[in-house]
Amino acid sequence: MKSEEFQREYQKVSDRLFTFLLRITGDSEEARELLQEAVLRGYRGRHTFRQEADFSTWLYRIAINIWKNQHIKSAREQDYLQQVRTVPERNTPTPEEIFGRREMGQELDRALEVLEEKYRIPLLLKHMEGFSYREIGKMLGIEENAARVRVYRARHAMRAILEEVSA
Amino acid sequence: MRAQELSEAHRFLDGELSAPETERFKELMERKPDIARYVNQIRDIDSSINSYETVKAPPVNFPSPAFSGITNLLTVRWRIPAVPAAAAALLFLALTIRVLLPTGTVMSDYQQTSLRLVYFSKAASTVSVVGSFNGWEREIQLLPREDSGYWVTQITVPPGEYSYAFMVDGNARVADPTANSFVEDDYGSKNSVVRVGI
Repeated sequence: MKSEEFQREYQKVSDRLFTFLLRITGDSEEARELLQEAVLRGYRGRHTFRQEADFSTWLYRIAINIWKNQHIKSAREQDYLQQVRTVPERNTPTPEEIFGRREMGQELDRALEVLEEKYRIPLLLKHMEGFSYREIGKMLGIEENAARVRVYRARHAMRAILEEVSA
Repeated sequence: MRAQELSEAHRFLDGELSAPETERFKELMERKPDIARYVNQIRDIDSSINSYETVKAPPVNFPSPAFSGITNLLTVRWRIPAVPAAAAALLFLALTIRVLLPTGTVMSDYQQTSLRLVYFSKAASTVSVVGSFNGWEREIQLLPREDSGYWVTQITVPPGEYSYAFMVDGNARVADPTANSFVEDDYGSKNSVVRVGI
């Protein structure tokens, strides 16, 4: 893939990808850095992109891999219900501040934030990005049916967290 | 709720049930309000996530080919392994001293090695090669040897181990079938590996 072609394809998915990264990181500065690194890595590896593949699936996969490697033992995955009650302080704008949403949004955002990583990412890919289970499986390096089960479990856990929060 | 009902609820929400299954599930929801409530709650969650607004991405700095090495150093400086970084610094120092030293001072020359790459295809219109020898930044064209089907290029590189792949007709990426070893990159593609001068 040529440099200009990469940049053209990137422009088509840039806003969506950044929004997705904001959601999985929960921090605008971290999302910005992750975007920069994912795009740079994709750009440098653009010759490895196979034309028959989907560009957005490929670039999302790179970004997710970087994120997973950085946060493989994230504290988010431990005792998430406790974190619902004690949200860490931040120096950079939160997604809520950026998105300006205040209705069901805040509780949903908080629940998403504390949802286990392996469920949060497929859930966002499915319902925020509209990817199919097959595409999600490819991005996460898992079988299509495993991606489907993770989304089911993610929804189930989100419901439980929201009920816990509102109780 | 039973596991089967849970699974059907999610398949119903995804529109993956067949028409008769959908009808049966709707009847089930009428009979069991807890299932209907569950489905509505999950549907609310799905649609709320779906309605997230898209945020404008900040500008990204693409490396220009001429300065890509410098850009990469600046961007991922904390990821550079210590040993190659130290080797690069020593090399730079050695070259600097070499330039500054008065004529006649004996220094060992910085060794360069020739690497000849050959690809065979009678059907190809263009063949180029990309590889770690230039940071995967630039395609190097191979030249056809008349109508023989052989495409050849010769480049000069420092001794070392390099991974590379051929680009056939601009987009088909092919590992060198004659290479002795191969490696899979971060993106799932197979590259050939060659060792020169070591």
